[in-house]
Amino acid sequence: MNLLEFKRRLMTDPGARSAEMRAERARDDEFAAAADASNRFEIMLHRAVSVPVPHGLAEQIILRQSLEQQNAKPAWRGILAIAAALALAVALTTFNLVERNPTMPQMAEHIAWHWQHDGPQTLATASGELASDTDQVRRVFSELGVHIEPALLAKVRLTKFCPTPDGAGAHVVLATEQGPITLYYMPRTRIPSSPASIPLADGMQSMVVNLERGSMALVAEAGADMPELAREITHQLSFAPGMTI
Amino acid sequence: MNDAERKRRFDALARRYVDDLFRFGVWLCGDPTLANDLVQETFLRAWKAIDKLKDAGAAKSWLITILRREYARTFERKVPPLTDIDNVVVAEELELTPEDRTERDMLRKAMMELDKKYREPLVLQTIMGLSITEIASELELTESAVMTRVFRAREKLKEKLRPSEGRGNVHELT
Repeated sequence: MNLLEFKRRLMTDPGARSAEMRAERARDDEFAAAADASNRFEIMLHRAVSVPVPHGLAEQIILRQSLEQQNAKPAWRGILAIAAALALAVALTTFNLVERNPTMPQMAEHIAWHWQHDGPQTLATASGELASDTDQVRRVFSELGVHIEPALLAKVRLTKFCPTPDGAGAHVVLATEQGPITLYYMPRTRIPSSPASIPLADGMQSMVVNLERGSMALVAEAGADMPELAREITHQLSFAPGMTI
Repeated sequence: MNDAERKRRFDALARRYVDDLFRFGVWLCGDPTLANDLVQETFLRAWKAIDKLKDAGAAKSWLITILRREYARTFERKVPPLTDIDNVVVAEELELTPEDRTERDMLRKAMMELDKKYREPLVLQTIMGLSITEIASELELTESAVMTRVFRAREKLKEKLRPSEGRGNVHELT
């Protein structure tokens, strides 16, 4: 192989280094220099094409799919009004039946995973300027069937959909008098014994509380008055009977 | 395949491929917001058709095909004319040296200025890791045509960067 052919191969498929190319590189300094220059360029090219990806994009996509699936209407629903009414009635009366009840170890594992996954980063994002406007916050909660009182709404710095043990929920950062608090709202998940404290690895603490619908987990620094926070927040969330998730 | 199995499969695909597909989308659309929408639509379509994916090893190519079709179907006409690279790439990590960042930014600008017929196979190769054969199949070209295009793409990028070599902030581009 001559040097021109060697360079042509580096320009067309730099990742595919054949035994023949490796041998040429080892044999001749000019080939080695061409290979080194190609490596440097490929590193630079890789940096250039690797544009930053929005934080949590995979989770957003997974959640969106979950929501679409949950909201998918059976084909027969629009055909007969009576069937539609029945379906709605069944859906409403059995709503509580679809709430899930993980064991406490399962819930502890989920909260620990969730916090480790993006808790500190989300908190950091929310610590600067207001990261979610009130319309965004209302929209997220509305999709999950929750009304949020204005006093609590004013404390929200950031809201986004997030995974829960049973589908989509909300990940919220609140600015409270006790410092920044992370709240995970899990609309379909309830714990067997509420409230429950869950210690986290990095000096944070969590408390999970069953709500009228679903449950919420609060995450704060050790020392925060979690029961008081939970009590306060619980009174500021309401669940209209007609709302669905 | 039951729902739980489909869901597990879908979640695994999303976690594995979404970052690279988003990056591919950015270079295809020249706009991160459109790329985000494009990737979201791609995965919604993937969910609806996931039963058709028989070979897990073909998942990457399958997703790329869905994304490119979706782009051609809906997004291509929304794409603004050539974008200023500053609008494409916003906040980013600061771990590179200022020289490295300058090189990277110059190369990005040069990438955006490449004709799509050169940029697309190059990005499929560098981001998605497709072989020449796979790119040829995806773009419905001969392998020889793909090799010519990725060669020309690199050549053009190096040409764009060459004038800056004198300033000492670009590697030797033999």
